[in-house]
Amino acid sequence: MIREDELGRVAAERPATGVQIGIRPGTIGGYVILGLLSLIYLIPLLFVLFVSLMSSRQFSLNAASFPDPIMWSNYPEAWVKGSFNTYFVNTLVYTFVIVFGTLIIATLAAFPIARAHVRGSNVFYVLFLSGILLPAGIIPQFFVMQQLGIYDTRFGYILLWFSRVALPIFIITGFIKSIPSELDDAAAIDGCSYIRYIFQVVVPLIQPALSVVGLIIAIRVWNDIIGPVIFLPSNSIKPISAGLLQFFAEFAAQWTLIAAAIVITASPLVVLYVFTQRYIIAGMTSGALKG
Amino acid sequence: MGRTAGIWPYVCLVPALAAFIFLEIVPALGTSIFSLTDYSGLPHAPINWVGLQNYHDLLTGGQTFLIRALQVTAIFSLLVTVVQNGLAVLIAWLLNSRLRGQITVRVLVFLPVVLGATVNGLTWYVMFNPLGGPVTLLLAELGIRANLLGNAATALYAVIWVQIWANLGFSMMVYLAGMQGIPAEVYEAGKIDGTSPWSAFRHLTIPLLAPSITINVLLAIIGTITGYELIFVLTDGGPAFTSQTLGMWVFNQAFFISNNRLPGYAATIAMVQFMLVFAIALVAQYYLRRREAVL
Repeated sequence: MIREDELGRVAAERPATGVQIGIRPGTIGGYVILGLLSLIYLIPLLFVLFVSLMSSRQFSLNAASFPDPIMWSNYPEAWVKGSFNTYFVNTLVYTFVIVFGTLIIATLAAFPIARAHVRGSNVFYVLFLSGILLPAGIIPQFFVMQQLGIYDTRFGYILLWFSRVALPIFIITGFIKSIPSELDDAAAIDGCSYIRYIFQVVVPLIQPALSVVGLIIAIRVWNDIIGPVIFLPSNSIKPISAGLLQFFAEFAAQWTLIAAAIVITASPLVVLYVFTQRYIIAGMTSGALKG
Repeated sequence: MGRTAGIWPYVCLVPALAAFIFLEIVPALGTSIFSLTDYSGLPHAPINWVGLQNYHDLLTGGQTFLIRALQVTAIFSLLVTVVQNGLAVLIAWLLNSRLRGQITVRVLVFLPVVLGATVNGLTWYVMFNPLGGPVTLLLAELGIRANLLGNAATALYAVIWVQIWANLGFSMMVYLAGMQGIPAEVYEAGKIDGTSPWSAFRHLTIPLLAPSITINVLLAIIGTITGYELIFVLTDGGPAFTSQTLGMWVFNQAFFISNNRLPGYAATIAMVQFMLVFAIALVAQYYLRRREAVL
């Protein structure tokens, strides 16, 4: 369970506790391994970046080279041909609505559970917890959405994401439990209404947890591929991940454009990661760390 | 405050609970019911109760498919779990010493976890591309002509490589956090005894890391049996079903075999998958916990 003082203070910035290794053959071996590892991660990413800036002629002659001339035009070409305008707007809408919607319903549920304001709060807690472990029942989900008439609609896809509240509730409940409850009792005297109290008093207090959970949800929505492929077959409402895959299928063998499309899809995530990597790493591994 | 709030705490639970029950819990449990029907996925077609017919079909007619999918799942799950965890522990150990530039390495290795299956998969698709992909060129230098993703003998292993590449950062950070939870005094004591770094790793770090190993191994096993996003992007289970794990098969059988979609039958495969995950998780949990206690 993550607490306030631990949030964002991830492995990434704690001092190393291991043995201090001096300059010995072991150290050199260590540097060699880390160097090789970095190359295995850098080469594919840089290769795609280079290909995205190549002429298709250069790609077919010698792909493993620095782009010359630099073809900036691959980007607008891929953007227009792949209708990335539509996909980009769709993904922004999905991400925004799903992140804020999930945070709101998860906080509303987490507060009464954490404070035992409902009978059997532990039962609800365990029920939500079981959702982290249960496999997704994609076939019944398909059936339910078809019956409700929300299959292949924006609304249905968003609703499907709202059902994935288990992890957010788990993290937020843990966080609320770490905050002393004296304020709650004071509020009761004021006769502050329950829901208003959650939004005006609790939400500001748990804001660090909400930011981390929000970041994780945003990344997951941005990267979701199975969800849109099953539940959003119409191109006009597809998010960017499914749009990228669609583009890949339609423009097979036009590798320079495909590479540009990959970079277009990845770059918002890379920018987000560069600025918030401590919180992202903390949040994404926190589910495992409490175990 | 709880006593004075009346029904409001319950009202607050409703939105999350409703979405969670109707679109998560009920479908998760409902898979077992659909496995007993001939559900076709067509909006107005009737759904008939067929009893254990799907199970019978799977074990008789679909037997070769089932065995192949189980074999592919076993290879995929086993190789990914062992290699990913082995590498992650070693790299976390290196990163936990005071080598320079290690923060950059951490951030870089974790990056694919953020980029997701589509970007990671297509990136490696370009790398493996038979016309001018760097991996293909490198292999050609060594005298091997290969289309790794298009060849039935190699596709699964190419997918395994990408799966490990994509998830190594996650395991690594969990191990690193576990190692940083080990008090420095433990190593100080070792130093006085003249322990070498390798022996400290083997006899101090690994045993004290047991809880992290348990969780990482479990997550890897469950993730490889249930997850199929990367396989979907890279090969869609092909060529000739050689990279089709159980999870990939459920998805294809339910939604993407153009003229033979059988969601009811797919639900039956999903039940096999579920029982497999359940059994393995139980055994792994028992074995690893016992190991923790012994150490």
